[in-house]
Amino acid sequence: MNLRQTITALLMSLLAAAGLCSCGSSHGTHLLYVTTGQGIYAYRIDNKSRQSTSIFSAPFAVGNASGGIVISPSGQFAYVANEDDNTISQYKIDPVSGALTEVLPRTPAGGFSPNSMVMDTSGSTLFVGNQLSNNVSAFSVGSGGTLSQMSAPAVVGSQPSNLVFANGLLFVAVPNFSRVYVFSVSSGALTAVNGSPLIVSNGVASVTVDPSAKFLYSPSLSNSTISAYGIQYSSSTNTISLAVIPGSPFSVNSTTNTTPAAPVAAIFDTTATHLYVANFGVGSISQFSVGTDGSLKLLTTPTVSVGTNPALLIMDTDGKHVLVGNIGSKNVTDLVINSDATLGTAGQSITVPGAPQGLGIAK
Amino acid sequence: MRIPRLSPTLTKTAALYFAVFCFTSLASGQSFFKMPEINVFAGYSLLRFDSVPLGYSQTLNLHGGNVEVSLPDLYQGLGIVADFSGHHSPQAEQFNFMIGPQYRHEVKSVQLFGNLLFGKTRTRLLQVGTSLLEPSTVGYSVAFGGGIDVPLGQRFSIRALQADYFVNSAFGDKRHNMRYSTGVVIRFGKKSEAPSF
Repeated sequence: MNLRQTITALLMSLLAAAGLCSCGSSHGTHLLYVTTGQGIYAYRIDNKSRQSTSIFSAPFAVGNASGGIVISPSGQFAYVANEDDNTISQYKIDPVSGALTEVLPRTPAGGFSPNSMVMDTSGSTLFVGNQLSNNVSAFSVGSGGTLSQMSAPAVVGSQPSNLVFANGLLFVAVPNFSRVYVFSVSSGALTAVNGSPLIVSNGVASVTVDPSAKFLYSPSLSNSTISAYGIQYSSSTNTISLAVIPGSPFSVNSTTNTTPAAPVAAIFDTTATHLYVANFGVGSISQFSVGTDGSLKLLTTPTVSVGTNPALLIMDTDGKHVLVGNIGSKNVTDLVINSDATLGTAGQSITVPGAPQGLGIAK
Repeated sequence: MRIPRLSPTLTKTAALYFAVFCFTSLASGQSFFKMPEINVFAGYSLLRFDSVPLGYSQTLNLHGGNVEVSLPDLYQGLGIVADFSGHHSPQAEQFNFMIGPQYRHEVKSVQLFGNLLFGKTRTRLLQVGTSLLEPSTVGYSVAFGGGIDVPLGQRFSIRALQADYFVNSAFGDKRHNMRYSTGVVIRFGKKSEAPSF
């Protein structure tokens, strides 16, 4: 083969290679949004490899002191609470680029220092807990994602720490009084349920309720325990009461630890048969199985280590991973739910430029 | 010893001298009164933009145009080509200006060519939301590829395909793209005899 033939062969090979290069495909991915004091950071997570890629155009602008973030069930919109502005920011999510585009103007929160938020399962109502005005606002979500306040905010006794919506009821944790306020929700209107507020002994850091609203769990910062209650609710009389589950409160540690575990948040798996608890003080997640009577039992491997000061928990859209926001180490730990329900590390932890204040996941 | 960098003026002057040298060389190899062969290509171009490392869900397809002006046979099938292309999609756009050597070879009247191009590229991300960052950047670019021209008579050819592996610097990293072009080539001047089997 002479020089010219060689060059010709090289050219043909190059064209063939070019064709092959264009045939690559990518796995499915989804988006993680993390609110911080510096803006909203965004990451695309590969469903298969769990590798995360920072969205180039992040951080996205946000109001002062952004707190909680909620993604609509459709994955089209994100809402962020701006604590110092007393507003809610609405964003459109670009599924291709992952970019957030804020829709102005921002919506007044209906109170002071909005922080925690939750959306009902249909995505038609957004509830906002306002820490300084000690109330909860409800907003209807329009077809374009716009928010409209539905009624006067419902008053709770003190600062709400988190909100949970389950089976038509809104549960609001109020740590200062060790109470959980409960509201029935009808067309966005919040009506205090008879028997509310519920008294939770041992203290309330937050509240977690299973989707059918049968059991209520509340981590106790000071006692390093989880208080567990059965919920008795009558819709006909709109009355609620709690029954202590035998064995409650349950310790989050299997062994005595000199450092307080300080549990702050808990989350169910998708079947509500296991509960995972973030231990702020020791940087771990406690793993419980949930009995049919609501009792908790630590798994054989009782805890899994995460970053420093874990405080935020969110279930991935696939239901097979739990993401943990670590305030102290300023990162997000990606944990896989193994077949035995224990948590294992999946992929590398995601470093965030600021302390995470809220986590949101879009499909 | 520290070697001083050339000023922009000196760089431009050097480029001008180089261009004059090329044309002078061309003229010396041709009859003074005969126009050298100049090929002008214009056509559609697709850029497979390496957007996944920027957090996009997929490689973006940017559509646009490609124009090339080439002196195809300065010496034994070697020539020089100037290449401009622009590509756009709702998410991003990119404009490239490059220049470099081209080798052309004829097989049974079909022209095969390969090129190595260097230049500058402007890349702009369009749907960045309420980003706090500047979504536009200018960086170097290098393209390595080739194509096939099928003649239609004396003056026209169809560029069946040109494919280039296209690397450019943008947003703090290298982007590994592929570019595909197709269109029409118009020849001006006397046809050179490209090397053939």
